[in-house]
Amino acid sequence: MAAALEAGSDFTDRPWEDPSAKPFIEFQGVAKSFDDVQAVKGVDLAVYKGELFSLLGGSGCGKTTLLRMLAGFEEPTEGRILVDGEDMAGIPPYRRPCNMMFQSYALFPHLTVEQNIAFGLKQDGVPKAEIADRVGQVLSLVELEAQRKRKPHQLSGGQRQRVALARAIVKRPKVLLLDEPLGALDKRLREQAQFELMKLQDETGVTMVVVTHDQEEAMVLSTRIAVMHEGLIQQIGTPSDIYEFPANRFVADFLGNITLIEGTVTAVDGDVVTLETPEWGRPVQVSDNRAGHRPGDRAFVAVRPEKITISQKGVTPNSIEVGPVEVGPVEADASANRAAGVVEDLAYLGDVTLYRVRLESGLIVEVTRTNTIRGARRSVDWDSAVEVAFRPDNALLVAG
Amino acid sequence: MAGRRRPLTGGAGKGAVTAIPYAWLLLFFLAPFAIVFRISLSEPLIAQPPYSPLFGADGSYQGSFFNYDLVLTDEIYRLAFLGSLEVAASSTLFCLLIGFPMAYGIARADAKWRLVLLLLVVLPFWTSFLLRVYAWIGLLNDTGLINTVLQDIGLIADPIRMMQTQFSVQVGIVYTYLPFMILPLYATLERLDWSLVEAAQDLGCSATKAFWKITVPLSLPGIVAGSMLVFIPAMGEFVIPALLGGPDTLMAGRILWDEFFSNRDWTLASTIAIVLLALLVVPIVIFQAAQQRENR
Repeated sequence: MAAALEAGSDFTDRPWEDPSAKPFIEFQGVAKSFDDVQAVKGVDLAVYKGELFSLLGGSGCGKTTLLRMLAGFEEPTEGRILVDGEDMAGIPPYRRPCNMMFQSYALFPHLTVEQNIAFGLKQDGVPKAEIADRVGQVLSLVELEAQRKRKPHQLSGGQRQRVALARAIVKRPKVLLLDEPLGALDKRLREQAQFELMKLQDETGVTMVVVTHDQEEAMVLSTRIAVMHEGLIQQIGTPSDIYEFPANRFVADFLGNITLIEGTVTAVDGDVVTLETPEWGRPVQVSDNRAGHRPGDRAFVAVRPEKITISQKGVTPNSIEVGPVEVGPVEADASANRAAGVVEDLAYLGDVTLYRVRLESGLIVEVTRTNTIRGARRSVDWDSAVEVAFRPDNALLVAG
Repeated sequence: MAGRRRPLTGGAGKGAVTAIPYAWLLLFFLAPFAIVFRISLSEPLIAQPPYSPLFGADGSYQGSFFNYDLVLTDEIYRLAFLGSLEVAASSTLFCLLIGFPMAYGIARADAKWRLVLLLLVVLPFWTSFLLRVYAWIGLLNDTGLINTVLQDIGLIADPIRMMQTQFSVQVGIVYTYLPFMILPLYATLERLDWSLVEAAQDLGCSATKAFWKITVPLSLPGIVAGSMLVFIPAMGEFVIPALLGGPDTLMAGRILWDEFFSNRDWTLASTIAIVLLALLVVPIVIFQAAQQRENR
């Protein structure tokens, strides 16, 4: 996750922060109903040239419908879609400057790899010599020259995914649409394919819109992510924006693990909000009042597991018997929110260990600790009485 | 290794399972076929049985291909086979032209309607085939429903002659065999991944072009299977031309019937049956080859 965050924040070109920048793809109040089901309920969205934009959400959130409307397979019931300034209303899929990579890949089973890739160029009446040239180019880009004469069913899953990608990019579309591009690949292939996609984007500069339900995929790939739920966009932002500053409870919960502590605001002092919360046991302070909460408001304190520390109760981390233990800045911080609990469950994941701590109120707090020292003995184990703590500036407040 | 279960394939069990269809084919197809073929090599006799023995009293072989010579050279048989071929081929084509849009429509219909529509396709089978063919007589007759209605509304003065023509035979065959075309076509179209058609459109095909470039090639197995199911029985069809056709309707099935029941010439009837079979084996072989190419 850490690497993903860096990839997001390292992105220096931020056209969406420039008010004079012209969006390349625009959804203006787009809504779509199927019979009596409203799949998309009014979406405003601007994607800039060269972005790799992800629509992230669970199944049935409307992300695929949004993509299909952009591709021209569905017409919006309301609103407009503009690509490069041109209104797409009534323009059939075959005249749109978009090419799509389908979730199922949709490779033509009766054609070879080469014929599949050449299909779109042939439709456009591109001269034969040029077709051969361009097909050869993309084949070498996706490293499938040896498989050019094969039929799709003779290829592995990863190869099929690359053929689908090659077929979509060979026409040099203005916009490349990818529907769950890596969903059918196993974990190792997926990681490799993610970096190939990013490389492709660097090389071609094509604007990509990706639909995915996989938050990690969206984090790794995207310049920006739109999190969707029930036909509405919940938040648009860079991966780190969305992870560190979720706009609401749904976004906070959807991306990564998070502990949500429900409470009532008792005091607001500038940025610092104090909440009374039976779940935590004592007042909690949070340095986040973007939403402008006032005393009496109900709100959730949201803390990521890696931003909470865990230590054996009554023992300062330094004095634990075996092996050195890292001391976080929290231990010495008097302002930190602390609570006592018992380790109910722990999972050793190699790079980190995940603890699930049950507080007296029954609230489960998730804590991860990076295993920075090789072979260090766990100072905290199952059923240990522990203290969990987090700093006010590492938590945020989200509305209920 | 003791607890290891024996694989399901291989061994005596597999042999027994495959033996059943083989035995069935041997008993009910190959044996009758051998009998028919043996009769076709004899000469007709007014006796019991009405054909000459294959081996004389001295044990000499007496069979000949005399009947085949006759069937292949005599104008009347050639015309009958050609007539059957023509009717079967054109009926298959009409069934395809009518059946494809129907199958396509059912396959693309809302899931809750599909079963109802399919049921409607097979619904005629719930009535006797003969009754349904007879019903066509009532429709197509000079005094039938179609002619009287057209006369009543003043569209025609004299009835249009439809019964006992090539037309009525064609109508009967197309009507009867249409479900056999629709069902396999539906089966392939229903399994067709529609995202392929969308992909073709996405890559620059109009809906019509995507249909010809993707839908048709991918439904070829269904087209071939449906065509076989219509063409093969239509080739040997006897009842429909007998009921709806005129005396000038020459078809192999009718000639066969006449030779067997009217002429009591079992040998010639058998010969016609064998020639018919040979004519049908050709398209089946083509079908097999097409399927093998598909699987490759």
